[in-house]
Amino acid sequence: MTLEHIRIEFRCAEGALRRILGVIEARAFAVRSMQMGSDGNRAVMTLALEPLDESRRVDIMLRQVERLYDVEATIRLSNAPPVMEVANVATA
Amino acid sequence: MTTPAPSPEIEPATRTGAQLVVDTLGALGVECVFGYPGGAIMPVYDALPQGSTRHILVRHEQAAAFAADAYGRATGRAGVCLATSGPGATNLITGIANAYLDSVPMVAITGQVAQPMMGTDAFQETDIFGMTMPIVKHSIIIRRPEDIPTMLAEAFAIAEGGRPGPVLVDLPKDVQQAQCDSPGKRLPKADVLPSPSQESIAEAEKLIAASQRPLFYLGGGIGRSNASEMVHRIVDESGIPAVATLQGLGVLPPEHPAMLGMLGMHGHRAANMAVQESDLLIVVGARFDDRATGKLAEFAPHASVVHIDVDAAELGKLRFAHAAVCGNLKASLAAIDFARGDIQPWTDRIMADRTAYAPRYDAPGNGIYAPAMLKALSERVGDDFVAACDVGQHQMWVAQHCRFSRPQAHLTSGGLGAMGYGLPAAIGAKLAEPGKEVFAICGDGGFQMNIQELATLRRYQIPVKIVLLDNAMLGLVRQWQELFFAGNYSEVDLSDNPDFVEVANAFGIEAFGIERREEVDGAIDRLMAARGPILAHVRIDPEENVWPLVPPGKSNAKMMEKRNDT
Repeated sequence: MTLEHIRIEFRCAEGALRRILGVIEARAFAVRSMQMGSDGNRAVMTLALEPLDESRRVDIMLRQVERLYDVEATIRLSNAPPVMEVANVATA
Repeated sequence: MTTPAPSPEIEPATRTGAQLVVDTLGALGVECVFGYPGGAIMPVYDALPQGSTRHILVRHEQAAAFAADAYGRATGRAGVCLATSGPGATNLITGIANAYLDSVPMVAITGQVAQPMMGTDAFQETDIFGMTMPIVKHSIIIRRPEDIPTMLAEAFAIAEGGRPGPVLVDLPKDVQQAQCDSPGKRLPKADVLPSPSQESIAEAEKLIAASQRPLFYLGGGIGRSNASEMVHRIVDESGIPAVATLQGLGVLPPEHPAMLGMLGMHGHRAANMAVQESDLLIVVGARFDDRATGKLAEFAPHASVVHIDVDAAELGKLRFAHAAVCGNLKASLAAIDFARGDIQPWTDRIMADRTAYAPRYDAPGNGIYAPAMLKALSERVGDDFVAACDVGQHQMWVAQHCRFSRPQAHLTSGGLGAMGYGLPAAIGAKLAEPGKEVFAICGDGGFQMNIQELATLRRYQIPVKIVLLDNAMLGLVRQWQELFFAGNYSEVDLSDNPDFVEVANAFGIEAFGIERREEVDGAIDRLMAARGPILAHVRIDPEENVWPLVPPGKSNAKMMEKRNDT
C-alpha cells in the first residue's frame, strides 16, 4: 500500500507527542517511519504512514490532528522522503 | 470567535495550590461540583469548605462524571467533577468518554500522586493523563501552584469554546500542598472559531435555491451552540421540512408542521423515507453517526449535502459535502439565504407520510404500554419536561414518543450509549435547572448500574422523579437476539431483580409500583404532585420491542415494522 508522508508542527506541551501519535493510530494509520526535532518550545516531525485500508483518507485524519490544542500546522507532503524532510528542518 | 474566560483575580496572599483551586473555581463562577474524596485530592477537599462552590457528594465517581455531563448539557457551561487518583480517576473515564462523544463541556479534576512519586507505580497512581487522551478535547497536568489560576481558566475556556468537550486537569498532590504567593494571571488562549467562507455560503445558497426536495438534518450541535431559536425561525420562514438526530430532538417540537421526527435506526419511517428521497440535505451540527445513517453507502442516495458545522474535522469525514460551511453555527446560519423554489409538492407528500406512519398507541392487552405512558407523561408536564435516560429500549421510546420543546430537555447518552447515565444525569440536570420537572427514565438494567445514587437524592433531597421501566430483561439485547440471533437468549434475563420499591424505601426514597394500564394516569398524578424524590416502578411486557427498526448494517430504506402493524 502507498505510504502517506506528512509533517506536523506543534508546541512542546506535556503529552503533545503522545496525543498526536494516538490520533494517527486511532484513525487507522500505522506509523512506518518518523523523525522529530525540537528546540524545547516547538517541534517538527515528519512521518510516513500506512493507512489500514484504502478507505482511509489522510486529509480527513490530518483535520483530526489539527484540532488538537497543541498542534500548530499539518502538511501533507507530496513526494519528499520523510527522512530528508527532517534533515532539512534540523539544519534550517 | 469565543471570548476567553478572563484569568480570575486571586488575592495576592500566600495560598496553597488547593486553596487556589477552590478560589479559582469560585472566581470562574462554578456553582457546583460533583465529586468523591480520596487520598490524592484531600488538600482540595480540605480547602473546599472555605470556597463558594457547592460540592455534591455522589456515591461513585462515574456518577460524578455523568452528573457533571448533564449539568454541562443543561447550562452550556462546563460541568465539573472531582476525584482522587487511581481508581477515583479511572472511575470517571466512562463519564468523560460520554461527554467527548456527545460534545459536552466538562472539566474533570483528578488528584495525582506527588510529582516525585509519579512514574514509580506508587499507591493509587495511574496515568490518567495518558489514559484519557483519546476521549478528551484537551488535558493538562498542573505542575506548579502558580499556574493553577491560569491553567484552570484555560481548561474551562477550552471545554466551553468551539465544539465543546471534556478537559482533564490532573493535579499532583505536592502541587496542591505547595505554598504560592504570586499566582499567574496570564489570559488563556482564545479558542478562535473559523468564519464561514463566502465561497461556501454562495455554494450552499445555490444548492438550496435549486433543490426541489430539500431537507434539514438537525443535530446536537444546534443545542450546544444555543442556536435552537434561530433554527426554529429559519425552518418557519423557509418552510423546508426537517428531521433530527437523537441529539437534535427538541430543536423543533414533534408537533411542528415541518418536523418529520427522528431519523435512523429507530427513527420515524417518514423521516427516513424523506432522507432517502431528498435531493439536498442541509446538515446542521450533525456528524453522520452510523445509528442515524444506517448503511452509509446507501444513505440519501439522491442528495447533495450542505454541511454546516463548527468542527472542520467533521466536514467530509463520512459523507462528501458539496458545500462545507465551517464556522460558528449561528454566524453560518445567519449568513445563508435559505430562499428556495417551489417545494410544495415535496412537503405535501412527506407530511402526508408523517400522518400515515404516525405511531399507534392502541396496544392490545391490559399491561402498561411504555410508549403511551411516556407520551402522556411528557405532554402532561409540558415545556418544563426534562428527561434523562439510561440506554436501551426505554431510551428509544423516550426519543420516539416524548415531547421535547428544547434540546437541553433531552439528556441521553448518544455517542457512547452508556447504561447507568439516567439517574446521575437527572441529578445534574435538576441542580442545573431547579425550576424544571426532571425525570430519570430508567430501565431495570441501567438503573442498577448507578442505583447507589438514590443515596445522593436522599441526602440532598433533590426532587428528581424516577420512572423505572422494568421488563426484567436487558430488553434491547433481548430484542436483537430475537431478531438477529435466532432467538438464542443469552444472558439477558433479569427476572431475579430486587424489589425496587423496597430498595428505594431502604434509601429513604418514596416509591410505588404499577403494572396495569388503568394505573398510569394516577401514577403520573402522583409523580407530578411529589415534592421530593420519588420512584415509580412500572412493570412492562418483557417481550415488547422497539419499532420501527433498521437492521444493523442495512439501509434506512429497509425498516422493519411491528408485525401486527403492517
